[in-house]
Amino acid sequence: MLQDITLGQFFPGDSILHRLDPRVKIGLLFFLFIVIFFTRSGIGYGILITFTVTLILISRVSIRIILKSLKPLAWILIFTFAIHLVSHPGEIVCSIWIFDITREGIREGLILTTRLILLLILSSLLTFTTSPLKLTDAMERILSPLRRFGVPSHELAMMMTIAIRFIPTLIEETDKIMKAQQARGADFTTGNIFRRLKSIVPILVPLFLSAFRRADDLALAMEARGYRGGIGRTQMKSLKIERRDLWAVLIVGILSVVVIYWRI
Amino acid sequence: MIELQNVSLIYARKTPFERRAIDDLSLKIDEGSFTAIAGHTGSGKSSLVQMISGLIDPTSGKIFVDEIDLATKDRIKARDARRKIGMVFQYPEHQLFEETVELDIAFGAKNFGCDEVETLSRVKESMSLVGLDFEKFRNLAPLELSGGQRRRVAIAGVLALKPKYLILDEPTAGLDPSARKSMLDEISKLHRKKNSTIILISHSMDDIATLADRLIVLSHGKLVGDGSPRTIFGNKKILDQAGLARPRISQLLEKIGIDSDAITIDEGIDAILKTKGRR
Repeated sequence: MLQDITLGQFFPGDSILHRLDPRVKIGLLFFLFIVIFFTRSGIGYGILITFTVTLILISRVSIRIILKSLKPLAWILIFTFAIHLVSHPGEIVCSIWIFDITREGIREGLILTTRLILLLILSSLLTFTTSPLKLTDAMERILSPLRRFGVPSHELAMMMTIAIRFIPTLIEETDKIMKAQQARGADFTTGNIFRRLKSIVPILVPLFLSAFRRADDLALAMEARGYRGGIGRTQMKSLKIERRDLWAVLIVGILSVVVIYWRI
Repeated sequence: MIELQNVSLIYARKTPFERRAIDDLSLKIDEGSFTAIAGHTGSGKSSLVQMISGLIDPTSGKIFVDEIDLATKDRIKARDARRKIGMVFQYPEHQLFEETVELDIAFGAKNFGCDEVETLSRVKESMSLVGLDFEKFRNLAPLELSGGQRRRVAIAGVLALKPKYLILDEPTAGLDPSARKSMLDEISKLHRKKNSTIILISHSMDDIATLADRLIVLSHGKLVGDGSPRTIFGNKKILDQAGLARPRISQLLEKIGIDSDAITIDEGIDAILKTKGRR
């Protein structure tokens, strides 16, 4: 059951999306977010949806995996749509019990859910096509101008890298400890809420212990290899803006101008 | 008796990460036997024993414990069958969580529904089985103990369940030589005195040779060898296929030119004395 987490997962590949500079990808993603929130017209969304579908096809990440990444938020999407459906005054299309469904409500609901779905898919595409290492590297670079104001950009990026690196390890560890306690008759699935909360103790205590032990080991290993923070540290694979990155910026730029032109 | 019928296990099915851990495996393990399982890392040893103890379900095939199918719809029956099997994981000391040794060993017994009196007597018994003094250790926190002692506490926690079949997954990994030796002595004592059925996963061919009466060899999830340790260690083809070496004493005898099927130290000494006497 712990193996079903797709959020933030990376799918190795060699598509143009995989090879784009991660800083450009993050920048363009934020830019697209703004564009998506500007648009209210059918044409605008038509273009944006076509664009997103094209990106999915280029990335060669299977549609099934994309849909799976939407699944955890399906209820929020449905709920948002339902609320908008009934909360806008206007021309009534039909009435169910005490709720009046209006033409404006349908329109608002559709706009908002489309926005959310586009945001989700685009951000999933970023993590699906960018290795966590590149992603944190890019975050560090993007934040580095803020170092002058005391933002520890390197340390933040290193913390993120380490956190991401240890997610699978901790999942594996949890799985192992759960099995060991189950073998001793522990039961995590029955009983009321208090019993269940109490039954987590035999998992949490060993898990924390091992996490602290790992953290200790890692700190020692890093110091032993001469790690002393970001000052003067160089990278084996420096990020470099290539021609394809400029093309990506140009394409998204043109797309945004067109979409914003037809925004109403 | 534990019986596996055409058991297969596939991890991460229908994803790019699909992996076949166990491939169409059938075997029977008799009561009172001491079975060792060997194979290189990733050969499926741990997956196999976790399926036997009912912690993971096989993708296909059936597992019977004393004639009861572990996948039976009758939940009480399945639970009772699973409870006949005690499982000691690798580095079992990492699962300790209670404040005192006594409470941690009692955890499983309480879960199995034992009353106070029964639990206490089980804790005492299993502590003496692993060579820990009850009065001296009962109120200590697990973190105050040495690595070897912690492992004994963890094993005692499983023994307190009074399993009919005991599975040990590399119980000596990471122990110092003396702790390792006494651990093996206790396992062998457990087998002889309590007549428990033992399944031992080990990377040490020396330990397997001295302890086990049957050796199962796995490679890439397939059964490649099954027989007495002597037969298996005499079969070069199986050893090469599974990437295993012979016990060190056998290697030594071969190197100094003594032709013998000795696999334990005692047999080795006999073989050497015999050759010397002949000269």
